[in-house]
Order: sequence, then C-alpha cells, then structure tokens
Amino acid sequence: MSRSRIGEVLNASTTEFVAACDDLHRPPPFGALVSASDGERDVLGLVYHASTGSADPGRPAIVRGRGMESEEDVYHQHPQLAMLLQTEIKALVVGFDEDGVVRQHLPPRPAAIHAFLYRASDDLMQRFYQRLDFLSILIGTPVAAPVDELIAAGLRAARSSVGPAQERELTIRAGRQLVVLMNGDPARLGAVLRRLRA
Amino acid sequence: MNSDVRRLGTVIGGSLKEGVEVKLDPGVETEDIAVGTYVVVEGTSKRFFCLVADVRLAALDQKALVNPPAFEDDLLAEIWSGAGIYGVLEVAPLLTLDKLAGALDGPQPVKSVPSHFAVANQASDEDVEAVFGRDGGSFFEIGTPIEMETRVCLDLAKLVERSVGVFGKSGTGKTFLTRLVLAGLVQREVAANLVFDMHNEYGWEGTGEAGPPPQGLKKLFGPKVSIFSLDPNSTRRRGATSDFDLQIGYDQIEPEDIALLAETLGLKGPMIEAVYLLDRQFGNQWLAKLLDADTEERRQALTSALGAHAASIGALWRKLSKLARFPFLTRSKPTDYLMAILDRLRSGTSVVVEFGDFRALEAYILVANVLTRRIHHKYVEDVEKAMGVGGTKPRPLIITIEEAHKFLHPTVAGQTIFGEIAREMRKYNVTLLVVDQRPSGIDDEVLSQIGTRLCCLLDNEKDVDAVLSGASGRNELRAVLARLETKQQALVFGHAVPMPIVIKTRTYDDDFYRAVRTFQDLGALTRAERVKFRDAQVDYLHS
Repeated sequence: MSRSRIGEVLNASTTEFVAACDDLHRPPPFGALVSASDGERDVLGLVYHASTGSADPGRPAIVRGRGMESEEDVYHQHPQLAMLLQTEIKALVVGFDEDGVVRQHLPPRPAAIHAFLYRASDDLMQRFYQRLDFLSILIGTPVAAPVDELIAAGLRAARSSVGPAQERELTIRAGRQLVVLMNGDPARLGAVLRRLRA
Repeated sequence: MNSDVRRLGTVIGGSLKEGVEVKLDPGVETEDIAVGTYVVVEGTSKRFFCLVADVRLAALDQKALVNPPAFEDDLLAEIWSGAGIYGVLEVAPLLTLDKLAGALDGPQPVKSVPSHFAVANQASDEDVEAVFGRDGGSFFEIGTPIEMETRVCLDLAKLVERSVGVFGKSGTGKTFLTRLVLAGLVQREVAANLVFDMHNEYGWEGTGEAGPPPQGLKKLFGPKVSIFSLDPNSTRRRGATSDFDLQIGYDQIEPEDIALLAETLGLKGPMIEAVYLLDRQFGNQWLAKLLDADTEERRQALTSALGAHAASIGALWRKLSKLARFPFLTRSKPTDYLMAILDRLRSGTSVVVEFGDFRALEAYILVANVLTRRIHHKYVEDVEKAMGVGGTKPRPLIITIEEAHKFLHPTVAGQTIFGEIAREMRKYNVTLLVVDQRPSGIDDEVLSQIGTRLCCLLDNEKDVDAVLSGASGRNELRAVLARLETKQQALVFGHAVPMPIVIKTRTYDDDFYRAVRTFQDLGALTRAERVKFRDAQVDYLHS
C-alpha cells in the first residue's frame, strides 16, 4: 500500500518525536496515530501537541495583515510566509511496527531525524488497537503531555476506524483497562471514562 | 459434547480448608449464580468439581466504593463491572477427575486445590452425569441439580450399606423424598424395606397438598409390597387392603420396650425398676399379670409378692393401662405375624406397617421396637448361620422409622434396638432409614453412623450442626443448607453420592409412576461410555 508523507522528523527521543508537517496549519489531529521509521521499523506515536510558528527562531512571526480585507490576503501578498512558517507536531511513542507485527512497547531506537512522517492507515489502526497495552505507556510517560485527553482522543479515533460493530466492545475493553490502571484515583478515572463516550 | 460450556471466571485464591475463590469474568452476573450450583475448575492435569458456597461482591479499590462512580449510562456500568468491581464465588472443591485417567477411574476425593487463574466453568450435564452416574442398575434418579436439566442419581447399593437420614423441618418434603427413595429401593430390588408408617403415607396412598393423592408403594408395585395394618378399619376406609392385620400379644412386650417409652409415658425410675421385677417374677406374662391387677387389693398382693414399692406399682398400672386400650395389643396369643413379616422380607418383599388411627407416639414406639427387636434377632441368626456354613447372607434390610429422635435420643439410644442397629448392624445387613425433623435430638454416636443424609430445609442452628456433623466442607454446606427452598429441594451428601449436591426433588407424579412401572434397566454408564466421555474431554482440552 503506498503511503503519502505528511511531514518529516526533526527531533526524536525514545519516548517522543517532533516532526514538521508538510502542510502549514494542517497537522494530523490530536490523538492521531502517526509513524516514522528508525531505519528498520516504524516507530508509532500518538500526536499530543501541534504548533505553528516561525521556522527560524531568529525571525519570529510579525503582524502582516494590518489594513487588509481578509486573512487570505496576508498569505497572498506574502507568498514567502509559507516557507518561513512551519507547523510542528509532537508525538508520544506508543510502540512500533516491525515486519507487520505491532508491538506496544518502546522501540529499541528512536525514529531517525528526517525520517518521513506518515499518518497510520486504516489497516495499521486496526492492528494497533487490537491491543491496549499502550495505555500503560501513556499513563507512565515521563513526558509532560495531557495524557488523559490523549487517551480519550486516541480511543475516539480508534473507534471510528474499527467500525460500529466493535466500537462498543473497544470502549469497554479500554475502559476496563483504565479502571485497573487508574486504580486509586476515581476522580481522574471518572473524567477519562466520561470523555470516552463523546 | 462440551459445546455448552459456560466460562464463569478464574481462580484467584483460597485453600482446601476454606474453599477456593473464583473471580467472575466481566459480563457474568452474580445474580445468575445460585449457591449450591456446580462449578468445574479446569486445573492443569485435573478437573475439580466444586460446589458454590457463597457469592460475594468485591472491588479493586475501596475508594471507588466510598465514592461510587456515577453510572450515567449502561456503558459506564459495563466498563466498571468486571474491572473495578466484580463478583467472587467461594467454591468448595469436592472431587477431582484426572484428565487422562479420571473418567475411567471415576472421581476421587479432593486433596489439593487448583492453581491460580485456573478457569472455572459452569458444570455441564455431561460433568454431572460423569459424577453421579446414569439412571439404571443401582443408580436411581432422585432429582435434578438446581438450574440444570440433567439427572442426579443415588447409588442405592451404597445407600443401603449404611444408615440413611432424611431430615428437614415439617412441611419441607421429607415424606415425598422418603417415598421416592423407598420407591427406588423397591423397584431396583436392592433391599427389602420394613417401613413403620406412622401417618399412613407410604403403603397405599399418601396425602398431597394439591391434586390427586400420591400413590403409595403397594399401589405402585403391587405384589412387591405388603401392608401390615394395626388398624384394619382405617386401612379399609382409605380404600386399601392389608395383607395382614397385625396384633401384638402382651407376652411379646419386654421390659426394654417399656423403658423406651419412659419419656413418652412419663415413667419414673422406680416404675421401670418395678417392670424388671415383674419380668423376673413372671417372665413373659409380666404385663398380663400387671394389667390384671385392676383393684387395689390385687395390686397390694402384687406389691408384696414382688417386694416392690406400692406407689410405683400403682402408678405403673395406671400408666400402662393406657397401652391396654390399643386394640392391636391382645392378651391372647395372636397369630405369629413375625414369621409372616420375615418370610416376606427374606423373599425381598417390602413390608409397610400402617398405624391407621393409632398415631399416638407410644403406640408407634412400642410397635416399632417390639417388631424390630424380633426381626433383628432373626436377621442376626440368619447372618451368623450364613457365615457358619458359608451360605449367602440375607438380602439387605432397611428399616424406616419416623420421629427418629424418639428412638435415638441420647438417653435411650444405648438401650434400644434402633441404637444398636445404627451403630453396628451394617454387619448384619440391616440399616435404618431415619426420618426426622429434629436431628439434634439424635444421639451423636448414632448420627455419626448415618452414611447418607438427605436434608431439606432446616433452620434451627442445633439441627443444622447435628446434620452436618462429621461432613467435610461443613461451612460451605451450612451456607447451602440454610438457603434451600422450603419445598422440593434437598441437600444430599454422604455415602451414596460422590459429592454433596443440592437437588430439586424428582416430581412424584404420573410421569414418575409410569417411569417406575415401565422401567427397563439399561445399566449404569458403561466402560465404553466412560472412555467416550474421557476422549471428548481430552479433545476439548486440546482444542
């Protein structure tokens, strides 16, 4: 299956990676499953942060649209902006895909810099969400990320990929795992479970 | 086979002594599992047959219970159940079946527990059949396990090897259960029965609460059963015929028979002593002599002849005159009923002794004791003779008595023939079937000799303790026993069943009559069938 790239890795560690998106202002949605190769395997991550700003820290974005009719005019009159600005995402590593087998633990190596970033195909989504071990990676992650929101968003995205028949089953399976993982924090658990339903 | 196995959960702890804990899988409702049902735990090399003794609710975290999650919809409820909150079954392992050899060797007593996370399934019909056998041979169907369709059988051959107890408070179906067991014994010709039928329930027709009266043994089995009546008028009134009108001569009553009645008649110590004095003086004419002393002068003469207390003789005369009012007691020497009864019992015909309208306890105790003592005597002779010449032992005899605590009370059990039978008569092929609502009134030593117990609901603590004394897994059984339904349910355990089981008693109706009348013995589970069963289990294991 041919994959179309959506960006490129700029920074990578064992637990997360940062990638620039090819389309300005069009990052993959929060909670989306993305992949980037480390040379041997595809490292999988869940998008937990997206930002757009100047690609060059020395040239921050400045006001350009004063006196203009519409926002589109800003980019129309300053075509270089598309090159100067950059949309970046951060993804938490939740596993890897090696030889067609998805494993939900941290990969031996981080993704390579300049590796292409891909959005997970429906097939990969389905294979990935068959297991829910990644939930414990998320809950235990050292990265400062909105983990609870991410879990809820990720599972909502997963639900739409598995189809209506398995939607409920997936939610219940994930919910039960969360009950065990978040044991001892009923308030937090309640908040996540309620978000699962939306 | 095994297609309908329903998984319940996994083993999470426990001990052989305390029972094993099974955590229910998500989606298995505690409400669906009744105490007393069967669970099969699949161990690595053994299958454990267990009885559900308790169902408990548990939570992963107590905090969640203090602040219960709001179940805004059934999705949240479903997520919680089985993960944060779950049900736990406490099951008592009772038997094991070796997965490879077991179906051939039959179930073995349990000596260990399954390991952690062994899977527990609801017992299937095949499992129950493998344990309890199939109707046929000496296996007689007595009911179905609760919430199952399969049949539970008593091994009647084993049943008669030891004494049997049918217990339960009044109105719980003791009589029906007893009638059922007796019908089985008569039909399978496992033993001859001698039934002391206080309330005329077993001979011709019983009394049901609704519908036509349940058929008695004579009605069901005709020539295989004889009715001996103490009250021929009552027997005829109920549309039955007795084979023999039973009379007991004064000369057949011995001092021991009167001693047994001490409590019922209110006889004091000196009066009993006077009875023995009379017996020493007059031999078997003692009762006739005493009852003849119907004037003060005659009693005075008797007193001086015996050297007894005048007051004791007077009181004794008054008390025993009550007995003389029973028409079946006669001064003249009656026909020898004993040989008639013995002939029938020896040929395998069951005998029901009907008391008609004479339901007074003293009549029952007296007659049962007099008859049993003499029959027992003959049986002992028969057996000793058989042992001496190497002949065949007489057919097993099982004697049914109601209100058994009156015969087997600790104060009298040592003296009565029933106490003796319960304690040692297994050697002589005679055992008791005691029917009682106050098992706590029965002597401990006697109770401990009761091999098979069929218990309907009991709610008195002392009675429950008494019934369960000596049973393994007593605590679990106690929970089960206390939750029996008031009708048609019984906990059966002991010698004639491989493990305790709660049954819904087989209904005693037209279907039953037809079944016992047209019964064709297909034999118990054959070896080939056991092999087949084992193979199916092995297949299941490897599938």
